[in-house]
Amino acid sequence: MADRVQMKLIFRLDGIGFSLPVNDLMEIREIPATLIDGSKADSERLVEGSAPYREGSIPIVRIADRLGLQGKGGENRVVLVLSGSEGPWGAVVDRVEGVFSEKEFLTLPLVPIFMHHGQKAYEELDLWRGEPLVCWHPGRFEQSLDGP
Amino acid sequence: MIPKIALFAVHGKEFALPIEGVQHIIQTPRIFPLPLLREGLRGVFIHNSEVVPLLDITHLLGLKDSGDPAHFPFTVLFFTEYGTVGLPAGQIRQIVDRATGKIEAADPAKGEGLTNRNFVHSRVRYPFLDAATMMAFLAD
Repeated sequence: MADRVQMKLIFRLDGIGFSLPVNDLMEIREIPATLIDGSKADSERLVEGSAPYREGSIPIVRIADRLGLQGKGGENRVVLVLSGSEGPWGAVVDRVEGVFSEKEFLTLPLVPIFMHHGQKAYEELDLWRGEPLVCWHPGRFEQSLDGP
Repeated sequence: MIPKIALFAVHGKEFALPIEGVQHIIQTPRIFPLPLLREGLRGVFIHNSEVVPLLDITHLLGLKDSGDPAHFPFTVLFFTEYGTVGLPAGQIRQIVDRATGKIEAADPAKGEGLTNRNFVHSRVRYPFLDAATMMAFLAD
């Protein structure tokens, strides 16, 4: 059997590019803001509310807030549905650029001294078509919400 | 080799850089913002497949915000212990022998930015930026 080609998804927040291994992704959905139930909001965990998903619901998380970014907002949310440690959850992004072969990416480390107060929201960059993209790992993001 | 000092101008203010720390001077490349970069960095750029952080020269020199760093015509690539860093620069005024001037302590009361030394040449005081000054700035 031929080896499966690994792929990465590129999404953007405030124009900044992020890469995500497609294996971490369940699906991409566009969810009207009106369907997000704000009564389930949890500002400490950046949860905007919950949205219907398959037979149940998932928390919708504004990952831009954790990264010091604004995010676009608007009437519809572009949501990456990810498999988390406590079940699926949705990460709000501004837009999805596409899915590309991992061969197009060159992963480079980022020197910690360049980060604000030594934050480790990300530690690597993917160089893609002359542009540095933030390597975003959902598992690490979840851990960062639990951490100090 | 006789040590040389390059005198640059940026937004009407001049500063001095020792040539021995300079790797390249290039036309300003495309600058990419990144989230959660520390204060004093304006973004990163790609040079020879390396991600290079761009220092905020206005912060270093105590100038008002200059806006988009892409508006500076040149970027100086500087060796440091953390790798290469970029420094936006305007005109290159002169390159002079270090022996034709002197290094003296800066006076913080005069609002001379974050540099703690000046290069004095022809009675003009130029804030002196070397790798140690820049790294102290980043390590704060």
